[in-house]
Amino acid sequence: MDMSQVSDGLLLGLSVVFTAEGLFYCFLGVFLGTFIGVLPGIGPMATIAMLMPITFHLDPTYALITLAGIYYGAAYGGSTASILLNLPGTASSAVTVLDGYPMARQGRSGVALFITAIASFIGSMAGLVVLIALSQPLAQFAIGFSAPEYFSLMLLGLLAAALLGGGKPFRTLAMVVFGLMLGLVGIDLNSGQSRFTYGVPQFFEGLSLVALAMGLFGLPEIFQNSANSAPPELLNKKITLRSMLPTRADWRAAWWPMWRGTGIGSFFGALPGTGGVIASFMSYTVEKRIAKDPSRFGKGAIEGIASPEAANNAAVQTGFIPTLSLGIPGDAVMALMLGVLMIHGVSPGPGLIFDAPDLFWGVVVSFAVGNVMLVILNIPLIGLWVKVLSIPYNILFPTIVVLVSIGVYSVNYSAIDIFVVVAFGMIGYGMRMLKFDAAPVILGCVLGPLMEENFRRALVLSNGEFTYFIERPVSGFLLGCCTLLVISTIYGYVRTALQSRRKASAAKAAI
Amino acid sequence: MLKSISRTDLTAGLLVIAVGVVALIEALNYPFGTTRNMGPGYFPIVLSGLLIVFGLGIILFEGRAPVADDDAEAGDKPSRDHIRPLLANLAAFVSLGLLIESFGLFIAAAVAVMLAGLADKRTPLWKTALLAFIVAAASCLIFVYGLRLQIKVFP
Repeated sequence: MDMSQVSDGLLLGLSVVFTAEGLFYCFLGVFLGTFIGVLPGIGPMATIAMLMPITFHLDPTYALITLAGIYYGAAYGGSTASILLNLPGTASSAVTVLDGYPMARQGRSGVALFITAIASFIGSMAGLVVLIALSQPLAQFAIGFSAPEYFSLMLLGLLAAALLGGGKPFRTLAMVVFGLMLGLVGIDLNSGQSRFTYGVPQFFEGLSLVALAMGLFGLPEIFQNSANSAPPELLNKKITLRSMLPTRADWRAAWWPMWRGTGIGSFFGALPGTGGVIASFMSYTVEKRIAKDPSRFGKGAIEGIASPEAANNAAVQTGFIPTLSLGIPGDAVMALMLGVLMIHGVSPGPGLIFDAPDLFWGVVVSFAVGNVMLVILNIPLIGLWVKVLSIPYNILFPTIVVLVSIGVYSVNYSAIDIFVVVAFGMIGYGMRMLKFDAAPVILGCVLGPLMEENFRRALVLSNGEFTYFIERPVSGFLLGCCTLLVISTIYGYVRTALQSRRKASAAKAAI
Repeated sequence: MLKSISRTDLTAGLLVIAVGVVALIEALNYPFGTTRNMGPGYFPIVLSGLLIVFGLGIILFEGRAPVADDDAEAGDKPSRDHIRPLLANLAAFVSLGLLIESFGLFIAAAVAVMLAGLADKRTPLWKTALLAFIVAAASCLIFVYGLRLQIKVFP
């Protein structure tokens, strides 16, 4: 890696972020992110979807800085609810509940909050270093990719998201394909044929990603959570700065777990399909396994919050690697970010770093600045978020309904857009009832047109020979990974099926 | 091994198949082209086929998965507790969409808050009314006068 290139880039990034606008949007993002992360019930996906309209009028760099801020801000805030309420604020801080809440019950909520903030900071900053170190070489490598490589890469990304996420594979695959098809709605650019538009003029330009994301994620969360008026019971209402300071023993116990978590998180974040949730669970398991006394876990072990929080935040940062350097989103949040870039006319891909260095480096530097802001927001200003936790839902949700509607309306000043969102909201609600995950739909919808285009182009290049995908080494390797993934999923399925059958027959024999 | 297929999975699978079939019927209208020179119908037809296959997969495999459903199934079933917030919030969104252009933002926002407030039956009406006034006034101030969005405030 060329160090001077990196330092030039960082300088460029500094000049983008250290402007009144840059700092404002960075702060706005992390502030909103923490706010949302703290509230249980509203995830980062819903928030980003709900706030996308406000970024439409911004420069793409600031739009991305804001949305990314929401994402990693939420990863910080999520642990606050985990510790004080015994309810995870976001999915990736679910593990923090296990030892964070017991710590709070022992009167050590301040220490827990402090350690999670520090662990989050270390994880994020180390993840950011990995992001800086890997993005450029990866982009350089990928710049020689042509259509078959892109197709295979996207296929791998989608399969990994569907099969590694831990959900039910057929449901997830069905949702990926459903998303790909939603992405095709509109006029086909190659032939001028309108597809799946059913004569609705609003559909000619394709479905609005905002409407789709807001409908599938935002509305169901409003529907589900708005019935509870009273906020959950808080353990500690007042948290003084003094009570937050960890003892020397706490530091010693938390230090290495933080770094182990960072390593695990950086790795899983960069892989497509895995992210903060898997990384945090994984790092918790590792800590428990290597601990001298595993029985302390679940009863307020400080390692049990330090490592997963570092992992979760490192994963958030390295999750940007495939997105920014290859243009391939690893999960639905990243797909939304790419969608926003595309709406702004920026084409994501390995060229992004070289063609739009101000965007790339501006975003990277904003991560560093945003993380410093987050430490300030989460340690000295923790009292603010404890207050946020006590906002009654019957004030919060009606307000969100109005803000969301105005946001949707303001994009095109068309009331019809609100009805489109409502329609997707009903679909999203139905999907929840039937246990479909909406995240793969978004991923598919963003990748659909790209995949089709590259598939077509590859087959034009090869004169219709499918072997072309295997003959090209990089594409062949990626397809090999796809095959392995599918085989290992089938293997895992068959094994659990056999095991449970053996158990069932053993139980019968015992009777 | 003869387990009955859970109703959620059956509905889910049938819906996926239905979407696949509807999409397939539509996609068959588009020129398929050849592999060398694909028409706009190629990709959609392949995807519709996959959707139907995965729908069958949901019914046949996930419907009678050997692993017992660990997540509480009852929690997701629509019940009376879920219907009320659903309808209240839907009414709020729809009313805002219907009212914003003819009656202006202030009235539309206030009505939407009143309706959304019905989601929780324990909230007293005066509280919701007060919130409606505050949210309507604040959103007019912030969005129309502050951010200068081109939205009418009053009828």
